[in-house]
Amino acid sequence: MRLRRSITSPPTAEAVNATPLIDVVMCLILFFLIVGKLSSENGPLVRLPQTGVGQDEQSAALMIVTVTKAMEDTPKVGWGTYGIVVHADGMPLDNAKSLESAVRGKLAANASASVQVRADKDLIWANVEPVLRAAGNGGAKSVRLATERVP
Amino acid sequence: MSTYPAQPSGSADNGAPTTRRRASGRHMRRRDALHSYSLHFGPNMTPMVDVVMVILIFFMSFAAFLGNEWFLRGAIPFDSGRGSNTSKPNDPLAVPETKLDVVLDVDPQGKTVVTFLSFQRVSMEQFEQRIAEFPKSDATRNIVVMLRPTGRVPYADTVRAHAACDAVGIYKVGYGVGRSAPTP
Repeated sequence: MRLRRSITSPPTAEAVNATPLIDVVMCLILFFLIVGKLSSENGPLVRLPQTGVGQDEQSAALMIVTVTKAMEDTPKVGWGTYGIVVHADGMPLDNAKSLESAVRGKLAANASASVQVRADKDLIWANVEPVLRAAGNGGAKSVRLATERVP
Repeated sequence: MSTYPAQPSGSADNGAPTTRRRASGRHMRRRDALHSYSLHFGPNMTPMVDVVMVILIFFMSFAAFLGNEWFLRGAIPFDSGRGSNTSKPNDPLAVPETKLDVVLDVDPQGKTVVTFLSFQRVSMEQFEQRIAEFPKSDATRNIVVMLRPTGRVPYADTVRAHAACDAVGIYKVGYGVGRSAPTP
């Protein structure tokens, strides 16, 4: 009976077993990575156009402008005139003037800030062009068009 | 020392075969956990496999979340209200820019056609093919492309034309944004 106890009893704590610790820490990292990514996505989900080339985003200070198609019953005022819904950093905007002032305020706070345009791939140029014009009127010299990466 | 209880004899008749087996040196097969544990040798692979699987999932998620988008940088031209002069003032060493206007339109069939250089209303595929023939040199990199889509052109085709320029190293791409369009 002594033999059985010596085998089945847990070994003495001479070294810390790091395996469960690594397990839990990695799961926590995964959890916060996913939650952080989901919470950082501003505005509605957009189906981006696909391209095989592009650059990775490196600018930390940027304004994310989301352009999506408006519903049929959207009033034909402001952005509704162009059949689009525009969000800037997750906040819905009524018209071009509000986008201009938002871009102007962003650039006043950080002159190196850039404007990232996330427009739906099913839009036509007449839908997107007023957004770029408003960004230009707000002082943006360039925009970064977000696309979906394809190999 | 055996850790097994004695086998029930059941009856007086079946005791004899058991006695015969032990007498011949053949023992009963042990199926308990203790015996399995005693047979185990070498490193315990379970924690390693556990951690490796978690690391694998971590990197898969990392790639899926952070690597699925990229960006095309396009200039907003000065005729959108920010001024009228696109050149650097008083720079005698500045190489004159080679400007290339690319006009995108939609034909009656609803397909996007491109007019550029001497090509009139060619398809997007022909445009991409012709642009891809540009040499990857400094001269190409200094070309300034101005994309001028009409309002009916799909946004995806505009981005596609931009990507075609980007692929050969033409990074100075601007979008023709008219000043005259009404502001809502």
